[in-house]
Amino acid sequence: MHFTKGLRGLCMGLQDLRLFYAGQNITFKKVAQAGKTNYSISSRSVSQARSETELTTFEMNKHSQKAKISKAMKAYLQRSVEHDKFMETKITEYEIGKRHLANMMGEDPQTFTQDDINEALKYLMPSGLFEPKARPSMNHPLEDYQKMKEAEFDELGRPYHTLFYTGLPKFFSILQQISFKAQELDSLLYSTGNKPAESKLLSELVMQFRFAATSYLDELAILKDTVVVCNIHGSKLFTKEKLEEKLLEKISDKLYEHLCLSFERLIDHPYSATVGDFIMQYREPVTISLYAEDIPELMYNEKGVPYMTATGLRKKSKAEVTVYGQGSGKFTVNGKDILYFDSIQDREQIMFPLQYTGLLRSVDVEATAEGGGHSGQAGAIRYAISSALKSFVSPSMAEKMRIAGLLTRDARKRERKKPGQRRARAKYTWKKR
Amino acid sequence: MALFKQATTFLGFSIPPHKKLTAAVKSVLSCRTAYFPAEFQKPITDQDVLKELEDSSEFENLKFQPFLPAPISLNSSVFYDEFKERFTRYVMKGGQKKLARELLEKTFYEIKKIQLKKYYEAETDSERNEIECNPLVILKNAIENCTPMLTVKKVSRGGSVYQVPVPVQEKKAEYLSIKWMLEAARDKGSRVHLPIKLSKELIDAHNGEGRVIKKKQDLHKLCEANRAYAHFRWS
Repeated sequence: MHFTKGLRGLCMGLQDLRLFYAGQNITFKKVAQAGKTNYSISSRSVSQARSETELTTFEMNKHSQKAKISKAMKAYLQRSVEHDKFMETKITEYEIGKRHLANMMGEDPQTFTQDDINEALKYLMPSGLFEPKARPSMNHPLEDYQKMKEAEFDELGRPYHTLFYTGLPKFFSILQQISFKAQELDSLLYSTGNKPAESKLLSELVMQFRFAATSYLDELAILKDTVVVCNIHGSKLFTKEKLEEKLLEKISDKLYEHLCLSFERLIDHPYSATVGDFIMQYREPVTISLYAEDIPELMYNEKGVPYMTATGLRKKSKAEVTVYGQGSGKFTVNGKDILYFDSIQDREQIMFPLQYTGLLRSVDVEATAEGGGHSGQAGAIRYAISSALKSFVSPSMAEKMRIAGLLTRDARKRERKKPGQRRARAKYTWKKR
Repeated sequence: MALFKQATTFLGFSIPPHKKLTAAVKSVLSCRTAYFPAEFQKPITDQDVLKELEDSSEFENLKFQPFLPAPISLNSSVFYDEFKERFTRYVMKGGQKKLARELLEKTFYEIKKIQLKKYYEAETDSERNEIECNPLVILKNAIENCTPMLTVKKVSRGGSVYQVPVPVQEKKAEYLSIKWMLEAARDKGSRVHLPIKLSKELIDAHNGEGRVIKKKQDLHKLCEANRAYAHFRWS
């Protein structure tokens, strides 16, 4: 059975406290044996006597009233005990539920894993809902419930962190670090420009850094060789939710925005590479679909002609396209040629990927389109042709196609009409009298 | 914009206007719901721009940049022009893009006819060189000639309304210019088909004369007359 680090850390925090109070002749009431749950695992290393007790209330001995416990600490201890108790009940419920599920599925409860639970739920409670949060699920309580912060103050109620009274010490310490780093980099910028002729320019540069974009820096050639801007490509800043989870602090939208801008300014600094590690701590990698999926290889028919099939969707239309190599530029949609489309814009759309890749007269295209209107069908065919052409062209050309927006599926749909409104967004005219 | 101002004042420093808001910030400043997240960039189809990008170091960075799907009006053909596309949308009424496009094509045809006639009637080479025969160039130049620099805004001070001259933003100025041009072309008085009227107006404006140019000059004159009230813009 597993146990996450967060709660273990919390338990250790509690243990330290208990040790402290034990030293001060404070005793805890032994209420219940806790050996039955995992809870005691983390405590075992400290001492046997304490590890097997579970704290619900505590009293101080009469002859040690000198050691005062602040109200904040009392409240915290109470909260943490309540939290522990709550988590323990949840965990036992989870274990029981898991056993029941295993029995229902006719499997061994001892070897029943989380994957088995998911599968069992999928089988027992099939859901047609798309939203993952709306589907039935059963996870370990440690995953589902938010972890609790460790005590941020000592037994006298004195906070450990200087920024405790900001309410969000961890968040504000990041902001503080950013500003410290920026100052560091500024001083670095001043110190490198030793030449007297350049020193003035450098100070100007610092001012410009404060008020202008990085593109401005590129124009000033003097620093171009020494500029080492942090390379953040392929990564993005943690989302607000992720940051909240990491810091265990609730951050407002405005504050998150502030953080975004502060990080941006730090990255814009000409020497930001020196604090690259710090910057990357709060970023995560991004993946682009073209690199994630591999491009399918060309197929050959009995005559040895290379071909590729693809499906395209747009609005309510669906298109299936086969692109043949070694062709002469023939095009058929539903048995007709390009005149199937009345509008010239639609014809242009179909020719767009072919013309862009330079294959306009060297491949044949056979397409079937159904559903929706003419522009939707043209869009669906365009997307299908583009995704089929990926296999015909070089990877660099495929990348160019992606930049041209040909390989992004346009998944926008008609917005529904709302009750009480004329259309999706338009309202009825309303006059007071 | 108000939100943006709020955000910057909250931050305690001002961001220069040329520094765009990045995706991360945009995602926080909530606006109307959009299907694609803010980090999606507009597609690049221009071969020249792409070549420039490829030579520079920025091309490598684009690998992690998601791109929006190309809009249906966009393509990489040599006949594609962004301004022409925009103008077509101004001509369009009630979503009839096909009709608007046909009208503009007819206008271009008329312009070409008129200019070629002039071209062949000209006697010397220097005269011929002065005659512009490309309708697209004429369109762009005509609209640029009609673009106002100043406009008037109504400001009420002390019970009376003043017409205060203010500079026009680039986009708004272009809108005004195109609007006046189309108003002149759609004049109710004459029963002439739009392409014929529009072509004449465009050629006139290209040469720096005509009704639309006069309209612009009138507006500038009004601004000039009301220059005494200019300080109401900020006080």
